[in-house]
Amino acid sequence: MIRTALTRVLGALTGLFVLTVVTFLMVRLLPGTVEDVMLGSEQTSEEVRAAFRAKYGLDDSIFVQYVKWIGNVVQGDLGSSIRSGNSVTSELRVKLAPSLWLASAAVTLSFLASVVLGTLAALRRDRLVDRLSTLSSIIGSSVPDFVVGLLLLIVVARRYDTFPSFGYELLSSGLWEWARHLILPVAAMSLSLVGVMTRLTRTSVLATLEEDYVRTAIGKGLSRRRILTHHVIKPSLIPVITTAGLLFVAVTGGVVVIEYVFSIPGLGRLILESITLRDYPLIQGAALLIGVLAILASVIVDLIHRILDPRIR
Amino acid sequence: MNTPSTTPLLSVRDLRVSYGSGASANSVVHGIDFDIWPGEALGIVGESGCGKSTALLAAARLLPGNACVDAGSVRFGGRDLITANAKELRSVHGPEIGMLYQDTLRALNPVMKIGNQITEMLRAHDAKGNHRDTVVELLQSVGISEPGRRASQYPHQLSGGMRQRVMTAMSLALTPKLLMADEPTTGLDVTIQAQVLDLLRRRAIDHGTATIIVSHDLGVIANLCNRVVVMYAGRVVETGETEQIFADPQHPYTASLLSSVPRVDRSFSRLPFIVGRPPDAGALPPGCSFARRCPVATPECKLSVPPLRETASGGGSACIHDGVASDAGRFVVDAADADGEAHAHKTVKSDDSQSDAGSPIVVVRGLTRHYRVGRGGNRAILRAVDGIDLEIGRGEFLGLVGESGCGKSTLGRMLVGLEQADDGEVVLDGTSVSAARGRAARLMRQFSQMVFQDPRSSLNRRMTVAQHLEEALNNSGVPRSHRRDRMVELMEQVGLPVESLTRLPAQFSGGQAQRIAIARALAVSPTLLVADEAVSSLDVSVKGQVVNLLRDLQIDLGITVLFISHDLGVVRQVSDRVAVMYLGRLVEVRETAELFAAPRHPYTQALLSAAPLPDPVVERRRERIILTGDVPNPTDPPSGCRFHTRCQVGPSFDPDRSQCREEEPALQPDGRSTACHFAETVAVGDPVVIR
Repeated sequence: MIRTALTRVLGALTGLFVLTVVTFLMVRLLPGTVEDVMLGSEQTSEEVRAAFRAKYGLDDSIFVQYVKWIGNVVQGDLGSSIRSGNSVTSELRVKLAPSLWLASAAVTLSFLASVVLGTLAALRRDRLVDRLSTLSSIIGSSVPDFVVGLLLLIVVARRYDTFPSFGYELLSSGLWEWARHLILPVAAMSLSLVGVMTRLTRTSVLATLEEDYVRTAIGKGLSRRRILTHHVIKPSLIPVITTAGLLFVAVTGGVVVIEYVFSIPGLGRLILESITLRDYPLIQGAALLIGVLAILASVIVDLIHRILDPRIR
Repeated sequence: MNTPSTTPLLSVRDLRVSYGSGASANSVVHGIDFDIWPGEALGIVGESGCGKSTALLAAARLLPGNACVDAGSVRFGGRDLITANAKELRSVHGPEIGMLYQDTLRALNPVMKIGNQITEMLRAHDAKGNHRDTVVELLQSVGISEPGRRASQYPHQLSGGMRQRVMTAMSLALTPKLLMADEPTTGLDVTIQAQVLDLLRRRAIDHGTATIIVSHDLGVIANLCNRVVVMYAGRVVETGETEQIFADPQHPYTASLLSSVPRVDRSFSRLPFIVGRPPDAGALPPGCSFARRCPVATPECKLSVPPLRETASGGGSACIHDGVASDAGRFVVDAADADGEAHAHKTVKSDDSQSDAGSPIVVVRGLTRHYRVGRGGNRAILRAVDGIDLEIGRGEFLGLVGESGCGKSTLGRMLVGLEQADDGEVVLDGTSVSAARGRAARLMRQFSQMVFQDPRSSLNRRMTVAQHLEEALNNSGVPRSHRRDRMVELMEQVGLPVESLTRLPAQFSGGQAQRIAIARALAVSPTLLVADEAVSSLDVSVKGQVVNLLRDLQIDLGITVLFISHDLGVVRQVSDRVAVMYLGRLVEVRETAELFAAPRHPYTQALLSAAPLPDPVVERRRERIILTGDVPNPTDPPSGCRFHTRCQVGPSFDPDRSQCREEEPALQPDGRSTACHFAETVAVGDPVVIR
């Protein structure tokens, strides 16, 4: 177990290395000099350019440049945003929290809902619950989430002041303050996630119910509840958890639309804006951050997978 | 055997089961009756698809969701299990009825430690005592070493034999009155099967547990049961005491079935088989459902379903005729003999054309195949094939036997170029093909072909038979204009109608699909055919037909056959010579008749001794050599003679025989020797009664 965990971490570090190389080269492959790209407009004064060149050793060989750059990255220095002039790290730190909360809340809640709904649907196969759940899964995963978001805004937020139509509050300003700003966007995002994961759970549970070991469990005279939890649901969750991990990564960087609809100052919005403005230091920083998140999530999913399924340990 | 009690423990009456619902419903059990009394062992036997497993699971109320009990009652302990509610059933499952299943890898939860799978059962029924201690005791009682460590392992970490022991321990954990076992030893090696059967018998004696065993293997039934129920097409056709059924069957089906079992103690020129297949469960013919295949059937047989009538010996038989069963049994054997003689005449000619018969066509020298397994600290070398010398004569039918994991499949795969040798060489008809790459590999594929165990997964289900053959003919460079004729010829050779060419594999039965796989192998006109467990998954009557086909092809076409099988009964019937393999090494290679009459290597003796015979009288008298434990780990084979750790005549029998531990016995390539230091001095036992 420890050995495999180590190999996984080693693999993750390799992935991390490749990621830094790619983001490092990204800026250097663009047309124009690196300082043009990183400092933005041509009006930058010659002194600033010289300082920049000196800091990143842009006259050195590419390897030395990479080493210097990565040294800065490790210390949290990703350069400054062209637009605001603030450090990229602080920009990202501010924007990461809302996105991370949004994504983890949406994925966790949809995972729990999907397990319940999918299992119920499988156990009541072809009956009303199953039909309804399948239907809503299809609707959920086919209606774009911005439509759901807009509908929620129009129907819920306009009538009930409890659910604000825009903005984000820090957790430090109170749990309820924080939560009520998140409820609608999380709901909007969850619908499609629940759709996907419910159907996956249903298929997985149905396959497990056919397994010989479920029959064995019945033949042992176990309670219905014990059979469900330990012999049906637990083995069925393995593929669902893997999917949830992958969805988490996809959602963290890809919640642009929802962040726009609900005016949440998150990572997705930041990326979109920096791309429009060609704010390369920010783009580079965000790409690095999302890459790290993806690698982290895949390592965690893999470890959970190994804990749940002893056959692949 | 007399019944000690007047009331049966379990009593099944008019049980009817169907799969599916509404218009598509298929009845598979058509009203069966049977009883089991306390302490007795009842066997339910029949070909696959006859409803025996369904009947057993229905009686235990463990049918899958798509099956439905349409009628009938199962009286057990004063209640009817069919109408019992979930709570009542829970109290029966475990403490009253224990279950044992076939495929233990699938029947045990893969994500739960085996110890926990037993303790959860103890907990569910509020068993007394410390559950962890109970588990250790249980595992110990079924002969699992290091029970404490094993308890915290997952099913996939255990060998098949060990898993079946765990399953047995679990089913007996609450000392139930009745044990229901569905094909409990199918898929296990004969040596492991003997261990499990021995375990079941001892438990039954110690605890007075009554047992119902469903099996297609008449040897297992003869070994374990005192009473037998024979099922055919969803009905009981015969019941009776085991001795009486095996000695004097009353129903033609029972007699035919008994005649068509390939036995290690007898040799036929051809394997007898029952013509045809059991009817589809949903479309039973009117009257006696066996009439279509019955050699002694009369027109009256097809009028109405014959009831189970009491026979003179106290059993029951569902045949309207008296005293015809033995004729049916004899018919099956005679038909095979006649067929064999007819064939013998044909072969005289082909024998003349083979002037150089006897010179080896395949020569294997020091052949070795090692696999690197494991990672990091667990890295090891698995010695699958570890220095094999073997010669196969032109046109010879060579049987290759051994327990699973002994390397016999790897050896076969190396002869067709599917595996590369690490050392040693393979000489095919004078050409060394050790490094089979490029041109040599193509030549090798022309020379040798392989037939695999599962015909369905070795055929592409989206390709028609013609497309399969076309591909093979194209590869071997048969011109387009000749291919059609060749395909027709191939179909004839494997005994399938020409119309089969346009069909897909799914439209054939298992036996027919295997014929197609054989036709594909024959398409390139190979010299050597390697059949790797090619009949192991087939039913007894189909098995005979396919084995006979292979034998015919060997005789008619002069093909050399390497027949890899764990079924010693089949190997005995068809092979000219038999090679016995253990842990990557050959231990004995001899003429078939000699080997079966007087096996000289202790391992061969143990293998033959473990194979159960369909004869309860012999089974009861036999002194079995039961090997202890599993095959040792091939990554770390024992020193000296690899068999010494399990050997019944080696150091564990006589401590002076330390030579076994230190020195590896050699096998002389003369085709008659034995790789055992004490083969000459050991009194050759008589593990199999020879007739």
